[in-house]
Amino acid sequence: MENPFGPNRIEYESRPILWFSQKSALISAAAKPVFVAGTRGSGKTSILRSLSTVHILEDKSLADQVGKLGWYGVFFQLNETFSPLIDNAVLNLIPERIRFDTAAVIPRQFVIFSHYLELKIVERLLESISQLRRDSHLKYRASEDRDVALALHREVLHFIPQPARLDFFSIDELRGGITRYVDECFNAFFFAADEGATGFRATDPGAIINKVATAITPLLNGPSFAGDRAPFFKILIDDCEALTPLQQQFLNTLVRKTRGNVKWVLAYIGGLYDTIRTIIPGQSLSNADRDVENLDSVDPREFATLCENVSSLRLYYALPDHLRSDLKRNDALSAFSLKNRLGRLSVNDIIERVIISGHSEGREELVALADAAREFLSVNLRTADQQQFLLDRKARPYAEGLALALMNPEIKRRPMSKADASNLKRSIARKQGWAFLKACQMLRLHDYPYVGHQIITSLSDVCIRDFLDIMGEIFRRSVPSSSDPRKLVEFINSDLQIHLEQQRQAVNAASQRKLDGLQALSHPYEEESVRMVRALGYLTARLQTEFAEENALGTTERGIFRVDLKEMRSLVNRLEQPSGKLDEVLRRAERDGFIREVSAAGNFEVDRADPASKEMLIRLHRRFAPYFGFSYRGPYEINTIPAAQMVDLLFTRHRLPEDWADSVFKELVARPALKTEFQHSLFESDLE
Amino acid sequence: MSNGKAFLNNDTFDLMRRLRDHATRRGNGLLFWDEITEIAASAELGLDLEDSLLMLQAARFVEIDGLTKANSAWRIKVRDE
Amino acid sequence: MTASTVEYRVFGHLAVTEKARDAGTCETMEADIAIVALGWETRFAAFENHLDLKVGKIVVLDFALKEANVPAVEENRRKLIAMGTRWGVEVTAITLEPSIEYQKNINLLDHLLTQMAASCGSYEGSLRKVFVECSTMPRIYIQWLIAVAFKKMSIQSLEFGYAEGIYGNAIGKEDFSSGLDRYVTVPHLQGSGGMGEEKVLLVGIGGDADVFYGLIDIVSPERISLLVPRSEKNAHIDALLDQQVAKVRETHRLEDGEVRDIQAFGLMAHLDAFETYLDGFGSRAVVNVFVSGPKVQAIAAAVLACSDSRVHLKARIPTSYAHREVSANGRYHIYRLIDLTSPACSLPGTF
Repeated sequence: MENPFGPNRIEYESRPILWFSQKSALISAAAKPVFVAGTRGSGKTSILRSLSTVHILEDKSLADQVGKLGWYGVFFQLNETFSPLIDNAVLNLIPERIRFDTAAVIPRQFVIFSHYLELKIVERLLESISQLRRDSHLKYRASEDRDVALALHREVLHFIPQPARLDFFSIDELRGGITRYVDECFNAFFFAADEGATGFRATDPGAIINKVATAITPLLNGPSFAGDRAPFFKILIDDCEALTPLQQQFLNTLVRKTRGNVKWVLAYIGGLYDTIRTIIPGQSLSNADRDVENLDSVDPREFATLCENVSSLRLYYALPDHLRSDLKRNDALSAFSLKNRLGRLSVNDIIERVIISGHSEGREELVALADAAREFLSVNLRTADQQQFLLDRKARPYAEGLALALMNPEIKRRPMSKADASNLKRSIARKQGWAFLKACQMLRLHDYPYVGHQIITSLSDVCIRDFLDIMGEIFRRSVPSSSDPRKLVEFINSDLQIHLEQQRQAVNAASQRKLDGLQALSHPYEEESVRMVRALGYLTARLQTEFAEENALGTTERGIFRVDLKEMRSLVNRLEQPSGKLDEVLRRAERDGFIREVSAAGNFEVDRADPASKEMLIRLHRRFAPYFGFSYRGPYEINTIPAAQMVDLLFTRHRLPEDWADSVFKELVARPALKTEFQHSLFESDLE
Repeated sequence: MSNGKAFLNNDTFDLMRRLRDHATRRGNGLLFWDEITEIAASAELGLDLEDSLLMLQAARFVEIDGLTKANSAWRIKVRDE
Repeated sequence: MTASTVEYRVFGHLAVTEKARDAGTCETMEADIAIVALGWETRFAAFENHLDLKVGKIVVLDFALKEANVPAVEENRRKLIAMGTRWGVEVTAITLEPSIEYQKNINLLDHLLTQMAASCGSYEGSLRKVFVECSTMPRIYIQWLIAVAFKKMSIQSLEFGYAEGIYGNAIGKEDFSSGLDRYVTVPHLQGSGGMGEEKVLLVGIGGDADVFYGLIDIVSPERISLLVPRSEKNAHIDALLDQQVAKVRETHRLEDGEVRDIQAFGLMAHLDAFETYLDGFGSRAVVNVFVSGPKVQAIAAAVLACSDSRVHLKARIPTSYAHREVSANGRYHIYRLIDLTSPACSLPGTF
């Protein structure tokens, strides 16, 4: 049995399992263009695919999820051949004498770019419509087919050769003409300079798409389509970061120039697409012009829902049809109850389980702290306020105990007001991550138990692929691959918590694997990512767990690192590394999901391609947490790593990553300025 | 053709008449396969539609484009008198 | 006319056949011209033990090796001239840029082929048949020649000769790869353009699997599939390949159907395997193909690219080539490709 959480196979016979999520629904109904940013593994490609009409109508499970279609979507993925294709055409079509006159060249380049892009889009659009007509999803008449084809040819595609006899002229035939024309004009440029030039006919950017959209709209009626109003045309383009910076501006300009029911959805890797500039002077894209969906800063609850639904969906469709009737809940999205299976476990619950199950050292101390906390809270809080601390739960309040132990003993003597109680609660909540690490340390655990629904979801770092990897490991341990499919039914139906030890092993294996994967990938000349991850991993762990008493408070949430790009770039240049090498290293690490960029404002409008960007805030992907032993939450606090240190880590490499981390740690902790970087503590009296 | 099913008979001519009427009403005589099946079904004609159309084409009453492809890709033109 | 039948198979619009032979009586190889790439490996000259070239001209490609004055290279040059004398065929050396300057060289070679067609072409002013000794020819040139022949339709048939080599036992993967690389699309074999619905990567691996990792970053494929060349002649190479395959399988989570072992030097075997993989991809997939194993992989990949517009053929341009010795082990392969859409294929002597 294949692991249902394994990577998707894009095969003709077994389509990938697509889910029409809330995000997809949102985008499908958007009346503005939508820009979708996400790293690899964020699910952006799946979202776009789930909006493609051909995909939807070919996949019954997806069609059932979507219901009536209020839009018509065509899907494309750009790839690295696109740019050179356009550049080649430009070289051949723009006369030599003006090639160095930027002001003259750019508009012409734009015309060539949009001519190609629009024709490719229309080609696919017409092809898909004809296909849907043949499959009876659309119901327009043959006479309408011909009339529309003739009208389009007359109005905007007159440069496409028509056959002598027009009785049977059709959308399909027009489409064939477009394919041949594009081939002759653009692909031919690779063979010889003049071969394509004679056939090229410039069109006004946007005109082709606008006219075609208008002409095609009346044809979009059929059993699957919502008949109430004219559907949107969603042009779905994935991997827009494959375009050169100038081409990205062209695309933005084209987005602006298209009207009516034409709505673009552009997906790209965050930070690698210019979401603002066009080539029209003074006209940038603002929030009025397009929505930006950032999949990496999605609400954690939304992500948790995504995880639940995707797990259930994958398990459901992994089951052979005839066994579905054996399911307790025969519904794709709710068959499997992720929360029950992983367990809604608090840090206290987990520590309690560890304490009960083993003979760990340090238990007595922890238990004592917990009991002391329970006593303190029941004495010093009013009954009404005690409720928020859930003291009557089965697990002892270990986290509370550890947090209170840090507090100034003076505070603990007086009775607490309601406001104090709220502050205390908030403060303890922020220490969950630290309390987890501290307790594990005290119990001398070798492998920390990052288990349970909340922690596992947090470790995935809003990256659905990482979540699936962890689930894959869990599944592998629960259902051996040689199993009878009935075991799969049992796995899905069960509401019992999966054994914590199994979860722990799975999570650790996934964390290890991510690091191994990184190491295996590294070419001897491209070690930077590995070094960066190891170094930052050790550093983060130390910053979060080791502390001198007076620094106790900010440690739990450290782990965001500020690097001064400008200074780093100049240092790197002096080392005679190829320029742009630094940016490439950082970009690659982010693209592959090893580090995350966090901008101060929390938004992703940072254009790192912009050489003027001065600094960067980064942290490690949380999936490394189990391997290095840092917190599954946050981080929230920023430390600056001196540019020289970063350059040394990545390029000069005098030390092993671990030693580098030690040295930087000492430097950071020693500096008195450190204290000022702490974010405002919600429990002010701690600082007295 | 080999099983002798195809021949021009009253039903076939009935179909032809309906196709012509349809063309006159609509102002043009270009049809997809499923448009024709609808017309044939509404008249409850018990024909083998494909064979009938082929016979009508042979008799030059209709012209079919895309014969080598599946039925769903056919375009059938009703010829003028 | 020989009595034995030769079996052809058709891939796309090309008829393909192959044979392998050991040293012994030479067989006649007729063609309008022969193209040979000068190199430092001693197996460069192995074909004189197998073939009697009956061609209008032997064109030797000199990738700026004259100034380098490498003894092994000059020895090969001398041998080649001696062969020419023995066969009574004129040997013309074409000086090119270093082989990594492929764009410039391809332009020069394009002109060269036009000239050759005019002077030696035996079919209506174009080259009916060209013999290419490819044992030491960089892959991108092999692939470009196939593109020029069968996509640009400039040559009616190609015949490739390849001498199997003996690598020293102490090889590690370093012996196979050479420095930091660029990845380029082979000219003319860029498929139908830069927009599709899914991206996959098909790799014919060699001794160094790391060689295509940079490509993964550029292409960002959703799936990766491997072809692993097996020859049962060198246990050390096999072990190396096993290592590489294990590494790739693990890091990219390949499933069983995505790793195929094939006969290392079989052209049909490669083409069949490639086709099987292609059948599994959607009609709007962009299939990036990259090969780094024995030269026959390069030939197979280019034939594939000529017939399937989903295929984008990628090649690696290293920063430099290390000069390592590879001697011939006595086995020689001949791969023949004929364009069935060309009227020339019906002329006697083509098949």
